Amino acid sequence: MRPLGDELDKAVALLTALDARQRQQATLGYAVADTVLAAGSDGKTIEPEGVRASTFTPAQRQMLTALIGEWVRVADDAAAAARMKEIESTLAETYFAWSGPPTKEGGAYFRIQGPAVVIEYAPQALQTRGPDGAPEHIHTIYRDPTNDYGRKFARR
Amino acid sequence: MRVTTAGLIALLVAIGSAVPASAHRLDEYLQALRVDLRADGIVLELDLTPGAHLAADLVATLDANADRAIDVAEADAYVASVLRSLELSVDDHRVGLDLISRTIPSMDEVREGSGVISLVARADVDQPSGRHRVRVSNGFRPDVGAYLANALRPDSRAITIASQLRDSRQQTLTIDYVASAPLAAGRLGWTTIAVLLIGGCGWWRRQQRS
Repeated sequence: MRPLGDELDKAVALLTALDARQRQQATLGYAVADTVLAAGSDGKTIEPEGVRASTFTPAQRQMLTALIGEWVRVADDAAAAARMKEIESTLAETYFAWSGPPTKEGGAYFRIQGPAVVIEYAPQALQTRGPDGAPEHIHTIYRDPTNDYGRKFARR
Repeated sequence: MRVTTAGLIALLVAIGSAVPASAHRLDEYLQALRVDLRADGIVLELDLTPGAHLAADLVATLDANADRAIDVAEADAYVASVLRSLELSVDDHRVGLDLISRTIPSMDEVREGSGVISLVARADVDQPSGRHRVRVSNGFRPDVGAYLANALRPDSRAITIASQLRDSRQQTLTIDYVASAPLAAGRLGWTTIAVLLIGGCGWWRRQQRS
């Protein structure tokens, strides 16, 4: 079993598909020890960093959408389809950021941040590794910043 | 519905994030700093999460009188020591910070490695129009610190962040930003327009009636 293995594979594939300029923009020049927008940070929006998807080719956008879908499609099909529609409507304003080696084994952190979605993947240092060298202890979050803790539903 | 193993784990981790994500950290002291640039000042939010292996040391420091409780004076003393480790400068001038609020977890939470010490501090800073540079340095417990430092997206349209630069450990965050017309002046301008419009409508109605 590879925890979040498909997610990591798709993120590495997207990073690899970026051109040199995009990859430079995507790469954060510092280590990220953990998730930035985990519990307790509802209502907080950090200044986005990384490469903006408005610079992506259609193929790169598809890869980003597929990567986001790994988290969104945990929900049932109808709910996931509605969420994906919301996320895709603001995809051009969504950022992809990467910190660490551009490999599956490197223990890299990545973040997707847009008006309708925040995803973080933060492997923990010095923890166990799987047979393929990929991290096995990962902190991850998936948030809809417009609907923290289901506020939209509570208002209805 | 498609539920992969990885997807299920992602969901569980997301649900589990009701507990701080750093709950697994053992021998490090996670320090998450957020910098909020406002039209009338700068607010620093710092969340400190000591790993469970650091608990004994931390409890000894926090509970200075060893009565197995963290009283107000002990909490204040600890937070003050954290605050002294933060350096804030604006345009290369050191700026003082005032503590706005602080939260101290229970002893049990500290021992479990899930306790979060939170503090909010503020510096009153004039934001004249033009480019500015803020530098925040966190020198608290560098022996075990794992640092995060991020600028919050400004609420005020008068502030635009141009860039963020960090050292490799995120102990230091430098933010270049642009301040446009002070927010207060902007509000005054809209208020003036609103008063003129209301006054104008009243005058026009009176003219119509007469």
